[in-house]
Amino acid sequence: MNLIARFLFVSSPIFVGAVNAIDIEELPPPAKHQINFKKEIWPVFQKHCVKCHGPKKQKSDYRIDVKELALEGGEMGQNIIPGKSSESPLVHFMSGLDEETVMPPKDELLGDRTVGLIRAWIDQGAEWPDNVGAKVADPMDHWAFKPITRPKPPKPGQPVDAFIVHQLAEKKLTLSPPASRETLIRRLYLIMHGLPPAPEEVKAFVNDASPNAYNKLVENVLASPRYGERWATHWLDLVRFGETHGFETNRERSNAWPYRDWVIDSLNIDKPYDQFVREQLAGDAMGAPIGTSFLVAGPNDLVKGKDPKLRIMQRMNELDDMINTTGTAFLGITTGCARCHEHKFDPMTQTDYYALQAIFAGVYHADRTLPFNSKQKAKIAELEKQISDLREKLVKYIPQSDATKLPPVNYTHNIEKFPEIEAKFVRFTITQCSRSQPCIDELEIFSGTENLALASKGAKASSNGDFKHPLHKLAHINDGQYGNPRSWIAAGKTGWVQIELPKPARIDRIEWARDREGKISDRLPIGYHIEAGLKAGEWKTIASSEDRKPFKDGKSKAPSYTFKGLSDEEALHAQSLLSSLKEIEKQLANLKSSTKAYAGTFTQPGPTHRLYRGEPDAKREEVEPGAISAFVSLKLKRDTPEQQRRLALANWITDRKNPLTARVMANRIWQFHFGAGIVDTPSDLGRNGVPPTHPQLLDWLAAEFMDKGWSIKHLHRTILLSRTWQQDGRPNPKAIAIDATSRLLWRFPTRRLEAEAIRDCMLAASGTLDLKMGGPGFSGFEVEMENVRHFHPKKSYGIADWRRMIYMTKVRQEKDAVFGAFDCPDASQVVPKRSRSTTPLQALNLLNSTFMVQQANLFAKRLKKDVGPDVTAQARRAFDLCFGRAPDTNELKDAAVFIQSEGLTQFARALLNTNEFVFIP
Amino acid sequence: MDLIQNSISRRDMLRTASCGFGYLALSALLTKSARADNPNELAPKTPPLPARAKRVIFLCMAGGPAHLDTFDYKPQLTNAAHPGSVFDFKRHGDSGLWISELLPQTARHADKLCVINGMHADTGNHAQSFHQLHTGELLRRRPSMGSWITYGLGTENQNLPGLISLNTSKPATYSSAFLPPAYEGTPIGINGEDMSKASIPNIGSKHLSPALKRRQLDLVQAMNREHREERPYDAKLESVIQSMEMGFRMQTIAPELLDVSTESKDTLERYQVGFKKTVGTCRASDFGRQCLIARRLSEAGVRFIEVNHGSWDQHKWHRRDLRANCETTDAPIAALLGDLESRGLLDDTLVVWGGEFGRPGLTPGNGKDETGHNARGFTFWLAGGGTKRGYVHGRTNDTGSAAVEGKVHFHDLHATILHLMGLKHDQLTFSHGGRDHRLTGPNNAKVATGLIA
Repeated sequence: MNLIARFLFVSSPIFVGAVNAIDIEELPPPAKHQINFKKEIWPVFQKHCVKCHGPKKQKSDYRIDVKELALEGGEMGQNIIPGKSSESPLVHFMSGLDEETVMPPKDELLGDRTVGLIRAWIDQGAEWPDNVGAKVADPMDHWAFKPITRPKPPKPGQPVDAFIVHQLAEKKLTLSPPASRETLIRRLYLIMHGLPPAPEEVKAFVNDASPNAYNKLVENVLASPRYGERWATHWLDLVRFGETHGFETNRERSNAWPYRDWVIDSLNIDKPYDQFVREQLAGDAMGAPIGTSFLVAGPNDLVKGKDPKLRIMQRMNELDDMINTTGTAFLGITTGCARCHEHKFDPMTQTDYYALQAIFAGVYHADRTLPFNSKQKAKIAELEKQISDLREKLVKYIPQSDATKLPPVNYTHNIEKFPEIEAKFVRFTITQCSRSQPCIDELEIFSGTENLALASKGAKASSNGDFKHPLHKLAHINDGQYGNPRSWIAAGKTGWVQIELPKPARIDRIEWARDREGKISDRLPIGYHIEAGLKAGEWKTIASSEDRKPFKDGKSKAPSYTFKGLSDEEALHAQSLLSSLKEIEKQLANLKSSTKAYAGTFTQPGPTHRLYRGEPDAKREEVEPGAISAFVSLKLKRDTPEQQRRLALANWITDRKNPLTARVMANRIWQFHFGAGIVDTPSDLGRNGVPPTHPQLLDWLAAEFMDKGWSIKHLHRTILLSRTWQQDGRPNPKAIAIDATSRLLWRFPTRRLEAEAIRDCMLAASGTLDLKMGGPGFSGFEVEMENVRHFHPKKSYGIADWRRMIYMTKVRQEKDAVFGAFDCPDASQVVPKRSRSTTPLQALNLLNSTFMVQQANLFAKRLKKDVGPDVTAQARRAFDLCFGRAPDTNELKDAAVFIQSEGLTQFARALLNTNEFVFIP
Repeated sequence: MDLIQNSISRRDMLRTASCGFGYLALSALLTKSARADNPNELAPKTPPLPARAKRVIFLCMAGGPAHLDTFDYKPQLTNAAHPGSVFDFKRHGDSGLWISELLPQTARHADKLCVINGMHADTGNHAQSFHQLHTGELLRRRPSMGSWITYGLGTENQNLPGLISLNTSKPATYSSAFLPPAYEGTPIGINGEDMSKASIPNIGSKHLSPALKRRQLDLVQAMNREHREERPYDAKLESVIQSMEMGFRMQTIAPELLDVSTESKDTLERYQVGFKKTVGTCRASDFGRQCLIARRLSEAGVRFIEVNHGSWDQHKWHRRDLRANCETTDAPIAALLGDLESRGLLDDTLVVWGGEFGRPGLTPGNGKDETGHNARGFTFWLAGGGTKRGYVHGRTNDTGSAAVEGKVHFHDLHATILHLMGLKHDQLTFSHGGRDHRLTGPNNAKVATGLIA
């Protein structure tokens, strides 16, 4: 199908299945004269067909009013076969000889004469003049799909201002005057940190007479770790990050938080955005393993349906979530439609959708053990050294008979160490088994800490015979997944399995087990040897069961030490060595298990098929992994290793030539500064999205972004230093009449803070905010640990709850009892732009919640502590902390009266409830 | 500034003081643009079709009520015993509706009921079918039916939430998912909380007297008005001020509505308020109190109220547990129907009864007492809101295992409910993730016109 054709239909085919054979002899005869298409055929199509097969509907994926599409056919294939009217399905349908497929349906049956005309037209070659019928637009003819150029700003000076002022001038508008310094610093802190500036910082800035006072302030703000914490919230919304699985049981996802910290850190160190993106799609290939948590940050249904179709739907939904999040977050393209039919608006075909599915088809929701970072590696090496030293010292206390050999094989984990050797092939030959045919759940071949045997890295497994069973497959031997359900069993009681590495490598260790999950105790290879070589056949034995003590019960065992017959002093010494050993072994085990992250696991996937209407049981042709074919061919094959698929996608998305990526991100950054993006549908830059208000500015920002090494902080700086950003936010009747929503930015658009920032600001005002960064979060709920988790809002709060809200464990489908009502998303779907609702429930939460009552008390205490009992001083301090300004004379007088009559706590609470406190000025 | 003495006159004073010609012109302009910019999302809207019902009370019977022993009578037809009803049925009312001996009170209202015996759904899994019943979608998070309806119609009483779900533990009953949060429902009584103590979260607190709270709010509002006067362009500031007043009023109104102690002793008895029976799968849900609250909320103009009772998932002890579930719900439902009728509310209140699916029939006489799940045919009933009275729509086959006539899928049920509310199901859409979503899904749902009066 050509691109135009692909892009143009919706999902409402009316018939599926075989067309009944009809008797060709019964067809009305063709007309005898030369047919004029425009006069005789086209009116028939218009009158009878276009209602269901025209611009609005394309039933059976067929459109008849556009020449190319009409001749090409639909879901059922070609409908018009030029020269062969008796074989053309269109004629069969129109003849009405088959009741099931009669067209047009119902009582509109065309007469024999009309069918005869159509037959004649087809027989005469189905000539269709180019000037008859509808034309369709080229879907690639859309601003966001065109290359990003670097438009020249319309006048010299600050480029952002140049574009904005130019467009304002077209409407006879101008920028507002600069905002006051008090306003400016408050706005800067609220937007960039989500926290108010300290009163001392306000004072210093207001009094800073140096010409670069504001520039210095901007640099300080960008350098603060509070920046990453604030802007990470925006990113986590966008990628539906949550710390429970969602769905029915909504269990905890305890190892999800490393991704949150990774995002915060990436922003703080100003990781180039292209790298930031690549690491989220394929960080496992570039030493940034936590990044791939992005792929599995969404909800995951833990209760798999018993019905196989439902199970497949669940898996399809998991993959859809990855495709959709990748499409919207990075590319600003919606993909959901193409799961069932060609995209209605954008150049995305259904095949593209399944090509993307093939990219992610090997990604599974799971914790992954991460490779150790250099600090961890050093610590591990140190502990291992201590352990081996201690073992050496203790070796003389092992009874002689046991001392020389390795421990016997066990079911759950066996390590074979050998001197480093260069190899491309490794063969594991089993000569004896504990019971029936031998089983191995995963064979790992290490070079240092990297397992090279994974199929997802291109390694290939072979054997001399496999046991046939759905759970036990050769592919499971190197799929990166442990446990009996993902294991290999040999065909016979002896046999071999072999791994061919993608290229020769220096290897020094092999690890294998029967069942690392420890559930099954049978089928253990107990007699075996392992060989390696650069070519298959040129083997060198590197490990064997001969080096081990004889197999007993398959349980993993530490060597036994005996201190009998020693002097008391020596026994005591030996005992203390042994307890040190045990302690260090425990430390090592803890360290090794502490590096899990919910970053997904990867396995080489089987074939991916296009699914007709997205139905799992309607498989169509197999598709290669790929992206959106109208933009790029990734040149991947059906058997391209899993990791390379994601890598190829990541490289295309971050290619400078990709027209979407930089535009999408520049627009997002703009949106979080000004409350609305240049494109107001930030995750849809396609044809169905809203056009940009300032297309030239957006392209300039996107080009500048890439030219400055995809630096997000550079983009912030550019925006923050503009007069546009620094102007006042107050009204101007003339401008309102022309541009009521301030989209042209004749003023700074003020708005309410997001839930997280409101909470953080309150804690900052009351002086309770704990700025501890990173690590597992705190919980806003008391959790009832039933099979289906129930989350009850906490009834009381303590110090542990006073960290920034980004560190509050993000429970899906539940909202924080106080701040959830402030449009805080629940991580069930991607949120590119939060809504800003105003509801009485918000007011109630602020008026009555335990949290607020407590914070008001603490705020009042702080005020007393800061300035003592004088009510005027208390009021001044409270205004400083809450609003970053001094009260005017009347406010001060009234505040003092209120504090005296109602108490300081009530006053404190009132201040935290005001609009001025929660609005970005 | 004189915040405390009289905040209202303070505002008036400010208004007068700044009441130049320009200011007036500006505020008129602002009011207009403000409306467009920030409308009250919950304001009542006129539906596109003539509405037969203004509000819904959904009696959600989670777990799968056995249709063959409640409303779908399947007597033995031949000498060879086959699955069917194991409890006795009688005809009731002028309409002669067949109703089980387990529901004697509901049976008195037979002539108000519109029984749908041709219901069917896509799966016999509880979680997914419950989800589909509430959102139209089997697996993924979608807005609840009540959220869609408040999105389409707003709500009548601005001092109360538009969607309230009583005694719930599942967000599917109140979540707005991708719809704006204004359409998120308010759960009252979550996860088995005692219904006599349950309320809207943070509706009240004892730390201050009402008078003191008012004075405190006066200070807040005075400051907000002062803040707003300097920024007369911002409709959002005014809407926060109003929402605070609304919240303040809700503090009084909502607890009053939830407090049924003012009802007469007779009413409390009719509704079986406080009745607690725990037998097998039948949990104590204080169902009577829920029904009574539902009546009070519907009188007050809440758009969609869901009342929950579970679990009807009686597997091993079918006869015992079904009897207990019926006993727990029968009188309260009868009282609710009676009250709605006598107060003239039934005409424009649509009552919906049903669960995620039905159950296969038992064969009388063979002693077996264990059933499973059946999504291919089961029963719902509707009452009021423009539905036919004393009417049976559709039927299942002779053993009740599958709907064979007048089939109504959940999507069709949703389309029908929306239709009765005056909404067109295929036009009530919301764009999310690049496409238009609707409650009834992408396929063509059908309004069951046959059951509309």
